[in-house]
Amino acid sequence: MTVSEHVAEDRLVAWVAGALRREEGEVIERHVTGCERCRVEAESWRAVAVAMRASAAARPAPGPELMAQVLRRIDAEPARPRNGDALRRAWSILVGQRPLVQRELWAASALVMVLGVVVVVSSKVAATGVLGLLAPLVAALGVSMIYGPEVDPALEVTLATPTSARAVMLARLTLVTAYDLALALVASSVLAAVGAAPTLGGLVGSWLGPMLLLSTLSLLLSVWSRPAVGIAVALGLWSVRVLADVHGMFAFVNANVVDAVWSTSAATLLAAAVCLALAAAVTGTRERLA
Amino acid sequence: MAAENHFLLARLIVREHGLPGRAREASDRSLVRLIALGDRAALEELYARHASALLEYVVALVGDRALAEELVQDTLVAAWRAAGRFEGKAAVRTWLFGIARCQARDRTRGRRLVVTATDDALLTVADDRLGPEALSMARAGAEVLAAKVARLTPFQREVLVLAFVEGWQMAEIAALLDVPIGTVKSRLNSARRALRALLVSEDEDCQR
Repeated sequence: MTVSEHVAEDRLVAWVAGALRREEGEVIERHVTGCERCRVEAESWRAVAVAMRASAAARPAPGPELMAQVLRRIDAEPARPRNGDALRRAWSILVGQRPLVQRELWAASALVMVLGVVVVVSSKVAATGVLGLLAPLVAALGVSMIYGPEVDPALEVTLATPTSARAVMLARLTLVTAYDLALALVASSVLAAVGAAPTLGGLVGSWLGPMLLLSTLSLLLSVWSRPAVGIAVALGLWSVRVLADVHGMFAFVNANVVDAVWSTSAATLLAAAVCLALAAAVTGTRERLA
Repeated sequence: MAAENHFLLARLIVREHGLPGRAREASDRSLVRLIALGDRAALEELYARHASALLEYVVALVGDRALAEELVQDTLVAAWRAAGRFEGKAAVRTWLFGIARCQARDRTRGRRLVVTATDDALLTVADDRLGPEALSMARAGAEVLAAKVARLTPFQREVLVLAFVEGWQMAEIAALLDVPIGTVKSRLNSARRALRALLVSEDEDCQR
């Protein structure tokens, strides 16, 4: 047996201390059984370990009175502003969730919106048509990707933290929706500025209601079932809307009814709010069942 | 919100048992985030997880149980204040032990940490013969061994407690002490030599 095969000192110490994984420990054990030098060395360390543990065992563990004293000292401190400050707490959850939203989502959403603007500017297609089509779809696909074990490998750990699953879901929804709203607003402003749309208000109206309704509906289906279902239904509903505009494509679908559903009106906003409430309720139920 | 926190915290505590190292660290980090938000239950859980190890470590540093308990208290109060600034560069327990180390250093600044009988002569006892000492060490009673450990220097006890009582690997010890791994190795070896020397000297005392 050559010297280079001897167990490294840090490994040997860790093995004696019982700090190694079983497989690695077994490898060392096999070597030590057959190697006189390493066996003597291990025995020497083991004697040290015995002495250290014996002296540790001679002392009782700290009792609850130690913690009680700590809590008394903490209570005696002036109250911290962050203590129970709901806004700060919400902000910290929001910031904490940002890295957990799939990174591709941000770039992909922006890219689609930029392409939309380029298409409108270069081809003189009606801005309301293109943005009204793209903005709701981008938002709906985005929000259906924010929550669930399929799209978030870290969800298991997230759920082990005392922040409620509902708060996590709503924080991510807020992030993604705010981002998509901002994207669509920037795109609309750019188009209104270059004269591609008569008014900014009219342009925003063409996508705002549909965006909120389609994304909350897609979120509801995604948390209730699976993200794939949320995405599929959003795509399906949106295809019907697009094709209904193409005259005669769906004789059985009344284009006027479809347009009324996908508009910015009190009814669509109310429906979006209902979907959001249901999605929050479903997430809360799942959390208790987990 | 408080009731909800407690419910989830309870689940966190239940789930924590048997978690692999990385998941355990993740759940430690969640506790520190909660402490930063002012959650007392999270601090109590952090205490439940680390207090025994922490106390053992601080006793090793200062050699006095009553002082060590006071320092553990100081450490938890300091952790409560500093949780918001925890950056996650080190593991939570390394951070916690680091706070304890600073507290111990501040408190004992200007005086010798512990009365220690280990002098240079003992440290230089030849240690080529490994067998007999190791055997007699293993045979010695727990109280005798504890008395010997108490006579080591704080630096020696510190590395020995971390390695053999807490089960830390050398890399983590090096991170806590902010020294290279080679220094941890040499301190461990010097501590082993000193412990062995103490044992030999006592055996000679008995023979006289």
